[in-house]
Amino acid sequence: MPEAPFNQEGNMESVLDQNEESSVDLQGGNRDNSTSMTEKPTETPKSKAADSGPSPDKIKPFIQVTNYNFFYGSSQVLFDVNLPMPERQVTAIIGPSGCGKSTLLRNINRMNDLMDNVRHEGDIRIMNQSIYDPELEVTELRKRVGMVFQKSNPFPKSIYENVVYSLRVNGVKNKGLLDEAVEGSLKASALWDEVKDRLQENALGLSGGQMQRLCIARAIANKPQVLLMDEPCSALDPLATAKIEELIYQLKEQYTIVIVTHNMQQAARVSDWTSFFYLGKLIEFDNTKKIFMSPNKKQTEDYITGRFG
Amino acid sequence: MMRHFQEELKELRQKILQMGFAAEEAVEKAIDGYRDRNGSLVRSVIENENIVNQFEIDIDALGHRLLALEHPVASDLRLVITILKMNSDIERIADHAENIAKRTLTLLEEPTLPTDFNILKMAGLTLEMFNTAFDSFLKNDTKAAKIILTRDNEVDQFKYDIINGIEGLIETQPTFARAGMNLAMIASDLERIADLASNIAEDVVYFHQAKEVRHHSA
Repeated sequence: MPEAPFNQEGNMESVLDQNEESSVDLQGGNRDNSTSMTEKPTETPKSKAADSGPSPDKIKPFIQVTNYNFFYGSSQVLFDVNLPMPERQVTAIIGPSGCGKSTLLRNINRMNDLMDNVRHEGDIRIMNQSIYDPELEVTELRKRVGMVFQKSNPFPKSIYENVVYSLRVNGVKNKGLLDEAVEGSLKASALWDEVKDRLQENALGLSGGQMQRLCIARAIANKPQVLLMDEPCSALDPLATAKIEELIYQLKEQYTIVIVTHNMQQAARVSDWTSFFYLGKLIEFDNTKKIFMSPNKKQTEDYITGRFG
Repeated sequence: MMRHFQEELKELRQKILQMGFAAEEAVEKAIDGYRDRNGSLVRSVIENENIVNQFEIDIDALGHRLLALEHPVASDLRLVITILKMNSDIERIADHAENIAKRTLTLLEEPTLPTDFNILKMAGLTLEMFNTAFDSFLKNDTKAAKIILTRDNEVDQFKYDIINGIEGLIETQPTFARAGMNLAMIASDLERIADLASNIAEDVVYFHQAKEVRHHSA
């Protein structure tokens, strides 16, 4: 609101008692802003990029996808993908259906090897070791790279047995170790307080959100280095989604996380880095803030603003 | 897809344009009213101030709703942010136009000052800055917006000289004290309008280039 006009009595108060923006300091008093009348004009402006976060050039990759092509039979689904994923950070893969994002995710622990007639070119390295290294057993790779799927898929066993399943498969029999793994993993997946008194109950009796957190507990019981998440919240309600997202935020202190999501806001909320795929090609990769504030590529902009896809 | 959202963005942009035109008109009339010592013209500025105020409220409401419900990103987000910032800048500009109008009414009761200390030149430059800043948004012209940012110092210099001149006048001829102080306040209002025009220009650069040019960023 503008102040009242100068009053008839010429009261100095009404001149001085103005808002900061229009203050005229006739007594030469405090002037602490750049609009001071007696200050000489200063330099001319220069521009700089708005704070757009770290550059992908600076990434020290924990997972490095290099010149990667992937084929289902004669149909190529990934084209010359180069993508670094930093350690203990969350990298989101976004893009419309059929863009190859789940294919890439599943290849990081060679899940697609289970399908017939697939082949790849190029390489994916984790800690500088190729996942296709003949000396690396696929089971060993999958121990290092855990996975959580879109639809939670607990085994029809007790909560306890779900968590320790992979440990038992790997020959761990010591009850103390198993108990420790159950408590540790369920605490890390923010489920412990809800199930600690019913560990022997069937996991299928849990709610959808709880089942998904149980699957995360199962994935981390092996102490993997990498956690792959394929649409982990798409079947959950907002509250359960919020819990998983908070969990992802905490888990990245220990794990390198790669998440595929259709939910733009989820990618924006949980990830540090975002890669946008379209028709099997990596269109843009940058820190998440940059992607969602000012992407470089028009295709990215059009996709995340909902103009196509 | 998302057509309704694009329509609402368009509506938001339309409203800020209408608000800007109303504020431009207010500044022009206030300056013309001062120059021509036209009481009825400056009174119309004071009477119409609520038009801009209402725009401010409507634009805030629509902008906040779009942020809350549509979660815009990228250039859509930058557009909403830019418009919300312009909204408060333009409202302040209209306030300063009203101040100039009120101070002109006071001046009309006072003896005419022997000189205007070049305040009309200052007013011309200020108005030009505001028009250009606003046009740069209207026409997506970041080049023009960046030029504005180099002109703020000229306005500051005008104000500096005017205030010094008025101080000298009041010392020798105290009968002009009240008129002189009102003229000084008009100079201050003009300087603030130029500052706010610079803010708008900075926001236009941010919207188009996602570049930070505030506070002489190096």
